[in-house]
Parts: sequence; C-alpha cells; structure tokens
Amino acid sequence: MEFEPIKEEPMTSVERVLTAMSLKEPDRVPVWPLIDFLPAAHIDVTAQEILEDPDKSQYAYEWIYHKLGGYDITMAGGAMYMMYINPFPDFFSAYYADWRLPGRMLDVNEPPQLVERSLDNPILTVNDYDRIINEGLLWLANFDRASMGDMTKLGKIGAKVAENTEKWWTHFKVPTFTDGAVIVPFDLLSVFRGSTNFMKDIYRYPDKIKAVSDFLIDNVILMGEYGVSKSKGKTLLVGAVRASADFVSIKHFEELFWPYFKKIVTRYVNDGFIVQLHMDTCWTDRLHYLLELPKGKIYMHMDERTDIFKAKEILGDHMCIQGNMKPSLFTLGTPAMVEKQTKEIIDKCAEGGGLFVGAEIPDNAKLENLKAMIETCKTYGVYRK
Amino acid sequence: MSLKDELFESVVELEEHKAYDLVKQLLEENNDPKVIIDVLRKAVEDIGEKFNKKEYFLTELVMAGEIFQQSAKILEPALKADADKEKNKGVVVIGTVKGDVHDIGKNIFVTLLKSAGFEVFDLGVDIPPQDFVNKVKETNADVVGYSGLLTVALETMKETTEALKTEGLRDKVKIIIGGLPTDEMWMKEAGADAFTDNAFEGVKIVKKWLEVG
Repeated sequence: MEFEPIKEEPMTSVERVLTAMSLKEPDRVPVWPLIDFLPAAHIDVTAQEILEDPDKSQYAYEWIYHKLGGYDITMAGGAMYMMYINPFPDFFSAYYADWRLPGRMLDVNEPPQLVERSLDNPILTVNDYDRIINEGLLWLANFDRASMGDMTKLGKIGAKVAENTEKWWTHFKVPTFTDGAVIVPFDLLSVFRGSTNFMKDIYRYPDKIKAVSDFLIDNVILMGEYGVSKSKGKTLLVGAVRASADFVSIKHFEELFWPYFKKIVTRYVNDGFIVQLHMDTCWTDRLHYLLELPKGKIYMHMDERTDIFKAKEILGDHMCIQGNMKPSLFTLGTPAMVEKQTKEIIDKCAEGGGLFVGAEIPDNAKLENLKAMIETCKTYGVYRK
Repeated sequence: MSLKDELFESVVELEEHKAYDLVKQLLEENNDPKVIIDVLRKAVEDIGEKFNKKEYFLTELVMAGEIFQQSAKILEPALKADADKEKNKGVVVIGTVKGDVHDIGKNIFVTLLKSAGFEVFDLGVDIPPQDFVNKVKETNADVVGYSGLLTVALETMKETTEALKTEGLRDKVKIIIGGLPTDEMWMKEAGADAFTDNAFEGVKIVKKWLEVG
C-alpha cells in the first residue's frame, strides 16, 4: 500500500532527535508518541500480530506514522517480539516474568500485561536469593507462556527486525526506540518476588538483595547488548520503576538501586549506544542523581508523576527530557486540551533544546488528540533563530 | 517510657521483632488486647502521616501493614476470648477491575483499611462487574473500591457502576477508585464518588464516609 508522503521539514527526524539529545536547538521540538499496539484498533492487524509478525507489525507502524503525518521516534516492526520472547531472565521475558500476551492468554487485541503472583506464591522465594548466587537464573525459565518453538524463531525474526530498524533510520530517517531493553536487578527482583514481598525483603534482607544485584549486574548489561546486537539498532532502553519516590526512601534508592543503574547506563553510553531512560512513577526528589550520568547522550522519558519543570531546572543542561503528559489525556481529553498541554511544556522546557514532547499512548487513544500534539510541535514548537 | 509507648515507637520505627516482643509482653501483663490494637492503629496512622510528609515511602507502609497484621495474629486468641468484642467499622468490597491485573496499590489499601478496623473483601484482580455486584449483595457492603492502572480499566469501572445501578445497589454504596492514573476525569467517567492515588488518603475518605473518627 502507498502512503501519503510526509511533508518535508528543514531537518530529518534523525537529525532533529540527535540535535535535541545533544542539548542543542533543532528546527523544532521533536515529538515522540510511544505507540505500541494502537494501530490494532484501526487497521486489520491484531495486537498479537504486532507482537509476533515483524512484517505486519512494520506495516502497522508505517501506517500510523503516515496517518498522523509523521513524528520523530518510532518502534521497529517486530521489536516487541525481541523483548517479550527474550531467552534471557529479563523483566520483559515471557519465559521468566508472568506476562500474559495477546492471543496466548489474552484476546488477540489485548496488550501484554504483567501478572503479579499472589504473595504466597511468588516466582522467587526468599531462599532463592542464595540459589541465584549459586546457579544464576536460568533454572527459572518457564515454557507455558512462550515455547521452545518461539525461541527457535528468534534468529529469523531478529533478521527481519534488523531490516525494519534499518528502513526507519535510512529510508524514513526516523530513529527507533527500544532496540534492546533492560532493567536494574533491583526492579527485576521486585517483579520476581512480587512487589509487596520485595518491599519486606528490603527491610529484612537488604544484604541478600545487594549480593544478588552484584552477582547479576554484568549479565544484565550483556542481555541488553545482546538484544541490540540482534535488532541492529542504536538505542537501548534502561527502565526504572520501583526505586522511585513512589516506592522507596532515598536511603534504599542509594544503597540498592542507584549504583547499579548508573553502572548500566554509563557502560552503554561508553559503548556508543543511545540510552533511553524509561522512568515510570515519581522521580522528582531524586532527579539530581542523574547529573552523575554522561552528559548529552541520553534521553529520558518520564510519566506525569515526575515534575518535568523541576527536571528541566535540574537536568536542562545535562540530559534530554520528555514527560508531563498523562496517557489518559489522549483517550479522555480533546484536541484543545492536548494542544494547551503541549504548548505549556514547550513554553517552559524547550529553550536550549533537550526536549521531546510525548507520552505513552494508550491503545484506545483518539487519533485527533495525537494529531493535535504532533501538529502543535510542528508549528508552535519551531525554534526561531 | 511505658511499654505501650515503646510499642508505639517500635512500630513507627519499623523495628519488627521488637514490636512483636512488646505485644507479647503487654499481653502477658494482662493488658486489654483492644487497647494494644489501638496502640498499633495509632502507630500505623502516624506512619501514614510520615508517608504524606514524604518522610516515609510505600516500602514503609508495607512494613507497617505487615507488623500490624503479624501483631494482630498474636492478639487474635485474646481478642476472640474477649466477650465485649469490637464490631467492624464498615464493610468494603474491593478489586482490580476486569482487563487489568495491577494490584500493588490495592493491596496496600486493603492492609491499611483492615488496620483501621474495616472488614474488607478483596476480590483480587481482573474482576468482572458481576462479581462486584454479587459480593456487594452478599456482604451488604458500605463501600466499593475499583482499582486500575490501564486505560482499559476505566471502561470496566464504568461497566461495574452500571451493573450496580441495574441491580439497584448504586445508591446503597459509596464508590472509590484508585490507581496512579485516576483523577477527577476518571472519577466522573467511572461514575464514582471519590478517587485517590494515595492509599492512606483513601482510608481517610472511607473513614469520613462512614463517620469513623
């Protein structure tokens, strides 16, 4: 199918994104809607196909990109297979964490959901902390949610994802996000223990959490690099959820999370990757720690829990930021509301570059709301020289 | 410092084992178990205040809930033997609505409600509207809580309220919704009476509804 051509602008999306990330002003503010399964609500491609079929998935992402008149960062078709059918003990891996996947334990059009087991039936027990140090994590693999057959497809699908990634970067000149993804051992253990159990462990067994984190950290770094080597992308996502101000004290953040997070991010930047920080929940009171990360090589997505204006104040000269847009604005809001919010962010945060506008987009978002955000960035978000 | 003050302090400082030892000691010294429970409750409330002031975080709320529950277990035989038993302060039916399985916040809310003296029926996650209706009928609930994180949850929250209406139950209950994305827009859309992204504040709302001091 032929798509309507995208209107040309002074910079390509690749140039725009890299300029903003290096803390200079591009032609206009880059706009990044984090779209994953939304196209399934509009065209004849299911959420399951977006996850499992790199061709249909690529078509879905090209369709929505053109439908919305073009934006600046996208997912490559099939990239999500590499995340969820990942053979390593990672947060996103259906072999390890209790993911319900579309068409498997969910309807073909429902997005993946992580199930937290009941408190008395966690994936990992307290005794397993010692077992991990002796045996690693591979013994935890479970083939109920994803099979050996899925794993054997990885090579073939990886090659397709690499093709799709290349197409975005060189043909459409749009950077891809999440070409590989990891989370810090702290978050991984929280998922495997169940968050409530894990919060008790923080008080009862902090030394064990530290010992396991020390044991896992180098392998976590390698898992991300493996992912990105398969997709041939440039961007590694480092996710963070459960060490924020919504969960733990600064003391616990400093002891059990921050040194490991810093090690992963610094290593990826030094190895030449673009690092995409995905910070869920509220990080406002610990933003200044991020100044310890390399400058101008990172972009950070925050959800609306973190104060983006505070982030601009603290990190404006150090790191490219995105945030303060509530996903439900795109489903419940109107184009006028979206435009107002977009303008406010641009007014307060665009100066000097270092800003992307966007949010995680719900699968039932209204397209006119997405268009309002994109158009506002393309018109109101122009940097006047 | 009295033993009761020591208990209060050990709970607030989250010194788990010290708190259990003190509960046992207070029982051995023939203190009224209801009075001991009250000390624990006040300590949990104090922890909630610290949480609101951002001196404490979710981890501390979870530990507080754990210490309360384990202490309540120690006190259970004595409380049962007490002829002048305490009545529950109201009935709450709660669950994560259909299509969503997120429950970290809900679990904390449940623990805090229980420690505040409410009887709580936690339906779990991915709960269809009819299950809420059935439980409300069965328990004569005063309050219904919907939990959710995903935007699909909003749809089922709406449907659940509709189902309660159809059964003529909507006017008999107050509805509170909770989860990080909930706001006034969600509350109105879901046909609820209150929203919160803070479990401790949620308990305050429920207390106010049921006029529990």
